[in-house]
Amino acid sequence: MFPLHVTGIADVLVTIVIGFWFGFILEQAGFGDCRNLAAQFYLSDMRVLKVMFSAIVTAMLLVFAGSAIGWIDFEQIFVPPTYLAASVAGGLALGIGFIIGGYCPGTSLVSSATLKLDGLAFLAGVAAGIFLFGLTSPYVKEFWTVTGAMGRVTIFEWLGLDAGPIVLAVFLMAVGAFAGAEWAEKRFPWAKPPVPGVANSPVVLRAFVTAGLVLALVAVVIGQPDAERKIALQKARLDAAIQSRRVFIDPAELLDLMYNNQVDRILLDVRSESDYNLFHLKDAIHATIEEIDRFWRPRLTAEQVVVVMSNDERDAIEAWKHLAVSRNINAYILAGGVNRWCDVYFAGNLNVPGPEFGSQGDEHFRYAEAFIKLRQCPTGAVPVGLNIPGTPGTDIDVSRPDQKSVTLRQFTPKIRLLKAVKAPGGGCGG
Amino acid sequence: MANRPTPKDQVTKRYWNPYVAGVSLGGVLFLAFLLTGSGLGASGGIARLVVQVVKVVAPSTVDRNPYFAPIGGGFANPLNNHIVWMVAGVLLGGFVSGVISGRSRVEICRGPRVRPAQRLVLAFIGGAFMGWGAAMARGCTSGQALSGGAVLSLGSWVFMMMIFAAGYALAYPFRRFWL
Repeated sequence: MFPLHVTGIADVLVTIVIGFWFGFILEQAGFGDCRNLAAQFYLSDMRVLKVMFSAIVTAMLLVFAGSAIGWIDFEQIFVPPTYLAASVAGGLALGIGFIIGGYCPGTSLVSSATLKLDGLAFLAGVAAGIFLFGLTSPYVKEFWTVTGAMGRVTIFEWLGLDAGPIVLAVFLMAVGAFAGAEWAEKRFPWAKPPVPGVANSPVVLRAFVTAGLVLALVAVVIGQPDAERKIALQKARLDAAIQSRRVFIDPAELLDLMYNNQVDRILLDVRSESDYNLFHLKDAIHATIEEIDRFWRPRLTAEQVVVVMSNDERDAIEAWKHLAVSRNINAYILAGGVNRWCDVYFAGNLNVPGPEFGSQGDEHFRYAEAFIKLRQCPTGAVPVGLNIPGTPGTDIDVSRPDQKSVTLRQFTPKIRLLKAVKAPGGGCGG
Repeated sequence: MANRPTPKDQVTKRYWNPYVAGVSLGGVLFLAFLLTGSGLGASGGIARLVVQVVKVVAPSTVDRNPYFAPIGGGFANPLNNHIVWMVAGVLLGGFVSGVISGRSRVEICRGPRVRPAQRLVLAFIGGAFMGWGAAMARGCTSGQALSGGAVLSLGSWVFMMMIFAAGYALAYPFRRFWL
């Protein structure tokens, strides 16, 4: 299951090798010479469009076809977040810079590496421009970070479609653009490159288009996997984790975690809304499976420890699977659920079984009656507004008992912090 | 071209076919996604070098600035990021490619009507626009347009369209730079 997210020295080596080929190909494509780049805007040599779009389309087809057949988890691929205003302003500035200076940051690196003095001058300009933006950033901060900020959003999500049709449309659009580029080069012959390029080979082009069409159809026909299919694809791994009980944590371990401010922890309560409002653990957030798929899974990171709970274990296991399909999420299940938590911290029964023992309950909240009794307003008393808790269900000590006042309970610790992965940051913004 | 590789007479090889180059580049970009989870980049590495310089000269400026601080504020080392290695790789790859193709020589590439000194000034000004825009857009043609475009990020495609729009809009008024 990709991406691998290599870290440490492997990351450095992989990145240098990838950068090497990136620079090598840019140079071989003729992008070390600004005349070849600027010719794009005079329609006499369209190599910029050809190289850029064929690279974009190639990577796009491979990523989405790979994601459709379940080899790649697209949720773990870095998608630059969308800030519309900044994209428009930045894009226009890049276009202006392109026509005046003739390079872009990547190509100016290649140009400098091949001893072109104008490439070096451009590179110095890029550094100056970045510094200038830094100086002015306090004044454009709102425009830069707030205006049109949409987070991680792809074109197909924005249109409410599956990736397939958009992948196919972009591919066909690119093929059309290539045909237009070939026509334009014949029509506008005024600035030919100083060094000729290798002519198109019809055989190779046909092979590229055919392969592209196959990949696009894979993406369209199979479609991107939904959570259910991802769970089915990883059934063996998920079931092994459940069977071995290594993702179930004891109530006492959860209590330790709740007092451990070194760890970024997220408690997700997947019970019914009414059970949740009656009683829930302190800072537990109510979530449905649908919310986990739509909201939580894309946002959680490997640095966070997530604990899912239901009344017993059945629903929590189901919800846990929806998180654990992403290898980037460190998720656990509260063994025995909220019922066992209340056995220990509400009924004071310290002899309940440890996390190795599951609970076969049918998700009925056994302590509902007791909590309803606790909350009843004595007859004749007028409830005082100030006593109404901010969120129902957390005004009782049981939701996070003081560790000094409860008898310590022995448990086998299960939580292992995942090694912090590289903070997601791709491309130039990284 | 005389095909005799002697020390004095370097052979300039032909450029790769653009489609072959593009599909190869797409393969490299895909490998980057597979292994590191993110795409390619260039301006991010340059930005980190800039912040490192500013940090040495005026550390408090870095700490208080909304753009510099996340990159290198406090004890953060701006150069401790894989994008910096990416830039090193790009320089190395460009250099090797230029040498084996006989295109690595000191020169100033320019349009036929532009004098060398003018070209250097224009390159610097164009670079400054690019640097400002790349910082604004959180990425340049590699990080946003290429990598973000491949994963169909909405903002990246808007960004890409804007680059071409501005480039074509100014192509005619600035034609003397290139034709």
